[in-house]
Amino acid sequence: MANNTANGQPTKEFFVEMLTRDIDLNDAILDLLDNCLDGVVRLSSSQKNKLEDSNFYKGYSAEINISNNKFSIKDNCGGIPRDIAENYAFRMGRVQETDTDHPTIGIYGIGMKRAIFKIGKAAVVHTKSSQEKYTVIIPSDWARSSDWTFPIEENSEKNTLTSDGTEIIISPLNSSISDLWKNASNLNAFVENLRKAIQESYSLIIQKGFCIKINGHKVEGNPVELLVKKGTDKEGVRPFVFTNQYGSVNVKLAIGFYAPMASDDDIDKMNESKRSSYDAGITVVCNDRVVLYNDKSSLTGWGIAGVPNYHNQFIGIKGIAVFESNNPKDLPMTTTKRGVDHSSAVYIAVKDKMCEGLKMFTNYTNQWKGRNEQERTYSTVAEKTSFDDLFSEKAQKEYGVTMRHEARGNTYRPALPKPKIEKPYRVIRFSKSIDDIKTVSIHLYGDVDEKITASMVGEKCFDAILDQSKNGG
Amino acid sequence: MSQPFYHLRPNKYVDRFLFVNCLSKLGEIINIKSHRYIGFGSYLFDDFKQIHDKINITSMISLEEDPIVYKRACFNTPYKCIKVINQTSTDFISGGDWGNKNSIIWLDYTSPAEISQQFSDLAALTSIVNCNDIIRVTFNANVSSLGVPDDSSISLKGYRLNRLKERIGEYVPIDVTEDQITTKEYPIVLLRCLQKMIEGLFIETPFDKRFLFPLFSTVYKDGQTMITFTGIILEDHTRETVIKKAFRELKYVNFKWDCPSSISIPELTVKEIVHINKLLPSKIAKKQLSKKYSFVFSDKDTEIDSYISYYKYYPSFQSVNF
Repeated sequence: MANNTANGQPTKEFFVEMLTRDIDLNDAILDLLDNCLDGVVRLSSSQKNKLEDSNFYKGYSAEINISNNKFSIKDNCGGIPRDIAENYAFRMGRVQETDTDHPTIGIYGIGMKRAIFKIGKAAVVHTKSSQEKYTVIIPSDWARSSDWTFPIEENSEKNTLTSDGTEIIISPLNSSISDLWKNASNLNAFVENLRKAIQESYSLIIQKGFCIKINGHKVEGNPVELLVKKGTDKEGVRPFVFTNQYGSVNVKLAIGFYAPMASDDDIDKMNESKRSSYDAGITVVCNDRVVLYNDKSSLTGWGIAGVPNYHNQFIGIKGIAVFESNNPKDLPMTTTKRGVDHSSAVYIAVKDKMCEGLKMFTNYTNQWKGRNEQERTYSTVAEKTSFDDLFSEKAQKEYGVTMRHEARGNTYRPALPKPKIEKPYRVIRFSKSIDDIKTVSIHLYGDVDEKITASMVGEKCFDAILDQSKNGG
Repeated sequence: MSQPFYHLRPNKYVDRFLFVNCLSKLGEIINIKSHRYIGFGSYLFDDFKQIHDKINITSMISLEEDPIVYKRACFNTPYKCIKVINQTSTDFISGGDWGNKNSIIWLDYTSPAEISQQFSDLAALTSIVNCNDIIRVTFNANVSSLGVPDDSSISLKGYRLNRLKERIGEYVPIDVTEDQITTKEYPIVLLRCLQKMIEGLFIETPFDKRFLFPLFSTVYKDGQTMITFTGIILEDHTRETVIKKAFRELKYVNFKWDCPSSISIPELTVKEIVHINKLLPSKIAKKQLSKKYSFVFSDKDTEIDSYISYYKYYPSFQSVNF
């Protein structure tokens, strides 16, 4: 007898294949770390304010171990409550009524499953939550069966957890991954790469006390610091600071210098790849998670709205935009958490402010071009300061960061020093062969010295001729 | 660099008059008296004088980048309420503490070669402006400023379009063709580039519905062809109708980006003005003028139309002995 319906059920192969194809292996592992952090948020949000507590993650940790046949991650972040495991945690996609009131990072309810299937064929998830201790098993033939459930095993001997937390062990690995990791140097390179990715993406979280270890080695944070002239005198090198609330989303933005502006010699070095501009650019953070790291593209305002494109002369410019919300869906991040959703209304509004801040510092750089020595008298008296401090109470008292309450948010625009000149300057640039520069350098300075740069030689030549011209010689 | 005596340019004079008229109309619906005026007054301050005298604005900033002209400007300020600042508009826009005070900003640019910087300043300005701020910008729209190819086998218009794209390529609308790079069309091309840039910068979101509402544009020539655009920042679209109603009688305020009014009045002698004005206003004036005064108006259509529209604002300059 013919059916009067057509089968629209999804196939598991499709799900597994589609979910894992679009994500990078590193990002899949970061998703697992995000789950650990969300555990901390659920545990502690009632006692501590995540937005204000600078030690929010203290005492919590995650350990990742990677070998050529096994991947594991173990945390002490609270474990999965039994009813959550039975009804929600292992479903493919979040169930509507589980929407939280917590500032978590996870939104879609696919991170753990996606990561597991990206890395391996089978896995066990040990968890200890309150008095319960159990293990969820993902068998290697799961994708081929028609059953969507996973078996749960009580008090398995293999579950060695002593404090509330979760341990995920993935083995065997997918053949593409185990083939790659068979080679020890490939594996090392991967671990190094992952460490860097974690350092970039979790630097705020590590700063707030979370401990992450990979194969036994602790990953250090990479704090965002900007140059701030201490004291309350009006003029000085200080960052542009902005805060605002957009619906459920709280935004903090700071843009400034993390290092004095580049001199012409610095720029030459960068062009010859002797100095890296890795640290410059704007970092975007959503609920503590870095989703864009030191970006130098139009995503963060470079090259649009009157801001010049990123160029090596802007190597000293750095910024951070922090978005926080109890409703993570309102945050401007993509599902892979490795990028911003630039059509988000909040993001569009904040990008305007990024452009405004960037413009102040690109313009400052252009104004001082060719007068580095004079400029350094200002930038070297400014001290590296953690960006958090700019939003704290002492910002006003100790750094003179006084916010103006404006219709489109609270803004502090620093009074950046301006070059004092009666006669306008012009930059002179020319190139000569290294041998010739050396010859002139020896002639002028008597010896070859590493510290004598090509531009010093050029300037000294000019000054000598200028002297002669003035003295009629 | 010495500045030409702008106040002796009749078409510019009329253009300035149209602006002041427009401001005074706006004054009927918004409190424009408490705005601050920011402009390039040089050392003659023609716009400042008119805006202070007619609109009663008492907070005024004149930007002057040249340190020598700056000193001369300080010496020549006609009123105490004018503060001259020795700064480029780029520095002022990115560095100034703009706050919540409303502004009327006239970026009266003259140099065609710096159009890229001028567009970028304007873009930067859009992130700072408040609702009810008035933005006015003048560009040099002289098509020959785009240069001439060295190689005579290259098409002149194509070469000029490429030069324009080198300067502000990202803002040139996709349908601009080299046929539009002519004396007549180039000012409109520039207005369309401006529209493209500005509309791209004001993206409406639930948090920010501001936009730049165009009021009017003018093209005039006292030597070089210049194009001027004037618009107002509105909080959202709800006030458009109120504004349109207020301007019913000012025909040149057409709320369009790319339909500039042309101001091209020939230089007239006092005797000519007296005789011609006796025929105005009248419905048959155009016919009469083209018949009787063909020796005055060389390009009949535009010059006569222009004079009939703006005769009331036409200045007469006299030599005075102090």
